[in-house]
Amino acid sequence: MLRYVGIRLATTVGVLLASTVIVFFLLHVGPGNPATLLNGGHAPNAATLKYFNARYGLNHSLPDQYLIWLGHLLHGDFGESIAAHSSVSSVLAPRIGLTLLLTAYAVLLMVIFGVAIGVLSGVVRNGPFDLAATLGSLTFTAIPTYVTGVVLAVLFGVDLAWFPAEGGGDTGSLFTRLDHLTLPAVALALSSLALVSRITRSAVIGELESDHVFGARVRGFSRRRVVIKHALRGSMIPVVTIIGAQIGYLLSGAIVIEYAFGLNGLGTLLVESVQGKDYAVVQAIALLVTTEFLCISLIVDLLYGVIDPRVRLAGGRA
Amino acid sequence: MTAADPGLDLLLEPAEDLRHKRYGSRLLSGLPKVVVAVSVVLLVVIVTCAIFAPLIVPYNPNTPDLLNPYTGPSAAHLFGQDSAGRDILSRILYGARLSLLGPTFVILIAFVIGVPLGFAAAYAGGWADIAISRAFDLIFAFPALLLAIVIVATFGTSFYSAVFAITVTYIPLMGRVVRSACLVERQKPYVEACRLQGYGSWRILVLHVAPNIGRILVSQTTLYFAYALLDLAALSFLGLGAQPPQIDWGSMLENANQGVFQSATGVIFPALAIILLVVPLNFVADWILEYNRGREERR
Amino acid sequence: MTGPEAAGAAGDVTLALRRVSTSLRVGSELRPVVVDVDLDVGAGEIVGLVGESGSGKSMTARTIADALPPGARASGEVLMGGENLLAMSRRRRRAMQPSIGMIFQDPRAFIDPLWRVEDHLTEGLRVHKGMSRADARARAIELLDTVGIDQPERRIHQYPGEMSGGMLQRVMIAGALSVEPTVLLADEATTALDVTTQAGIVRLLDRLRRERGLAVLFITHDLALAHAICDRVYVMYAGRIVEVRSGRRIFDDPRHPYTMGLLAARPKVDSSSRRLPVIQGTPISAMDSPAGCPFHPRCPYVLPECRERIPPLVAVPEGAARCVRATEGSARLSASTQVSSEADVALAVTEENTECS
Repeated sequence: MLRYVGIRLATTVGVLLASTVIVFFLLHVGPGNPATLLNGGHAPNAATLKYFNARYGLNHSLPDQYLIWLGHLLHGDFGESIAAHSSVSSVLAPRIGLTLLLTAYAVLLMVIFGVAIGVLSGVVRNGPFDLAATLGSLTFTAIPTYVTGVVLAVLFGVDLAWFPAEGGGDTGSLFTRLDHLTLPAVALALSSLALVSRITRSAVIGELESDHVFGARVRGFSRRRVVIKHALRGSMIPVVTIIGAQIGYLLSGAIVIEYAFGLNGLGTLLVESVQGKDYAVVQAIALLVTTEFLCISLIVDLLYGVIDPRVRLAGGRA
Repeated sequence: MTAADPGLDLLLEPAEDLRHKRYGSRLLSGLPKVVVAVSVVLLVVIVTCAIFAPLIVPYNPNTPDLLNPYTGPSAAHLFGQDSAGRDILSRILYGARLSLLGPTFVILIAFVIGVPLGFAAAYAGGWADIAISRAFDLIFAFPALLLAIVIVATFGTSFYSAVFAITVTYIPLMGRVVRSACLVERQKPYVEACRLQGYGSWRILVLHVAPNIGRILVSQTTLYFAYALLDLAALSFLGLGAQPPQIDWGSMLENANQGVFQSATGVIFPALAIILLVVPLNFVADWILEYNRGREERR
Repeated sequence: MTGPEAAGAAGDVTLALRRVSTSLRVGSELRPVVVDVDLDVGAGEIVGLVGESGSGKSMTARTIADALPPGARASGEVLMGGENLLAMSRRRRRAMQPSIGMIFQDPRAFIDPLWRVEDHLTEGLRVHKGMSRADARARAIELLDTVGIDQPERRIHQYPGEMSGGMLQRVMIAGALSVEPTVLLADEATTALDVTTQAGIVRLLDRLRRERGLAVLFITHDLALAHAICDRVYVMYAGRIVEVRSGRRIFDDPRHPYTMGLLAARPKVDSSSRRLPVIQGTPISAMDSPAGCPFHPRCPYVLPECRERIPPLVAVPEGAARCVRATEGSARLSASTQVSSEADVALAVTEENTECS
């Protein structure tokens, strides 16, 4: 198991580094020179240019520039935000909390409800619940998050006013924050939730029909035991896979949802920065979110190792 | 006469092929033909509207009527008016053009680049496979939309910038589908038989493998078209895609969203338009995959 | 029609089937797969149940083990300790379940690959016998030793993926034995194994039935194998028992045309027949049976009355056969079709029905 953890960890770090190379590379591949890009699309004046040259080592060779840039990154220095006239980190810091909360909320909704609905549908097959759940999931998988978000905001936020339709409730207590984040989180999670429930259902049915579950039944164990201890464990493998796959979509979707609901998180900041050509901020958020994504993927991989011994023994997924 | 334990009902299936259909299972195990037919009709209608938009729009989609913003549906304006008083119906019809054109470009380019890469990876194997797969994995390391946003940030916000950005995220997707499908086919006995007969790799690839993975490829491409549409609309929604006066559904949705307190209905039409395109595409993609497959597999 | 006691069951009859019939649900109908089966397995006996696919042999086992598909119906009596398993309440039936062990063809499919061997083996002990984890583990190690796995203390921690097919089959047997059944149903348990491993498993089963008085029902399609290891063999065709003989006699003196055909169809190393003899046509299941004797469309010795009614089991030396010509013996049958040897009998089968296959 330790070997497996080691391999996964090393791979993640490797991919993380490679992704920084890509982000760095984009800076140089864009139109104009890096200094212009960093300066919001305008050619910088002499003083600003001098600052950029110093900070980013723009007159050094490309590999050196990368190392300089990486060095700053690892010290938490993401550069300057032109829009806010302060360091990027100071602009990011207050917003991270909301984004993390929103994403975590959505992930929890997706996992808890998605798996629960899927398991129930799979075990009580073809009943009215299953029918409803399947139709529902088929529909919602196809509807994009922002559409759901907007519709939900209209339905529940404006017309029915069950939840606040806007804002992140930043000044309130945790409860107020969650209250404000409920609609966005639901909108964000809904389509992934639908997919997770469908996959879970198939996985559960697949296990229930499998030979080893049959074998357990033949050995005279109660249905309850067979379902819980024998069928569910095996069905978790594809479920963990799909959850892992959806995390990326949730992270991306969070950006859109934050923007749609006017929340004060990293997502909205990202969009504003793109529109305002505040490149350093864009870079920083891209790296942060990617790191988050890779970390979560690592956790999912490790979960595999716990659930499926075959993976552990093979030393990693093929 | 004793019935077999009904508790086993849920857990056991016959070992022989004597599966019986339960009530309702047909609905869940395959789409009724009606649904697919309706989907195709809807798609044809929408594409036709997009092509003939300039001929059928009741108003110029960009003409503002600032005295009447956010009106609901009326006799004069079937879908109502948006924040600047422009006719929503006309904007929807015109918006169909960019909303459809974008994904078309994305899928075409991703197909042309991604498919050969996938084939190469599956068939050349060795270094080529490692290099291509690693390149794909690198792109997959980023959440797709995020990568697209960063690319747009680098190249400026515009329709083509958005198309380029999304295409980059779809090339590895296409490539991976092709590669996986090829690898699966390669394991099959008929490929080995061909090889034993002395056929070269290319011949096997083009004459035998390609047709077999064709079904999967077409189905996935259809599905990816729908996803590309959604991704592009997402970029537009964020204001990072097509810029005014260009019209597409994503930006219409965002525009309506801002005025959601004044008029909730403005949101419905772009949302519906997107849904009515994406859901049928999903159904059609599923149908392509399943159509006659049962029959083929029994051959 | 009572079972053939003449077949000489040793000691008490542990498992007895009387007029057992099973039907499966196909669409909205019930179609028969097992018809009027009478079968006995005594303590310490290995009894073979031989048939091809569709013969109903697996379904018979499943009827005994209460493992039928949804919607299936079984009638008749499955008697163990004087009680009819088919007539019991669900709860009582489940309580009886540990008395019946069942092993299958593919151990990898039937043992959960995500569980350790220890978990698999101790589950039955903990659930059915209420043993503590430690006691169950100790017992499991003993069981592994009993079935001939070396280093049981090490093996117990392993996963199925780390073991070979033959070893895993032994683990499956250990699992079945763990709850101390009185009956063991072996459904094609050796079919997927190579000959050497097969021999090992068969020896193990033999030892177990001798040492523990286990009643073993050995289901297979290989009549020669059944002949080699079983005290008594039942041959099934189209859901019915068509012949039951002692293991030795069935090989030397088959009395049912189907059995004859099965035996003759094996390629012989020492013979020089021109063509491999086969039985014309394909095996059928009970639901496709014609009127009269189910075998008559393929039978080289068919008489007009065979098309009209199902023959009863007729006593023959060391058993019984369900054929109106059962008492004639293969010598007389051969004479009636004017050929002289057993191999030629089967050849005559192919030559008389002159379709090329």
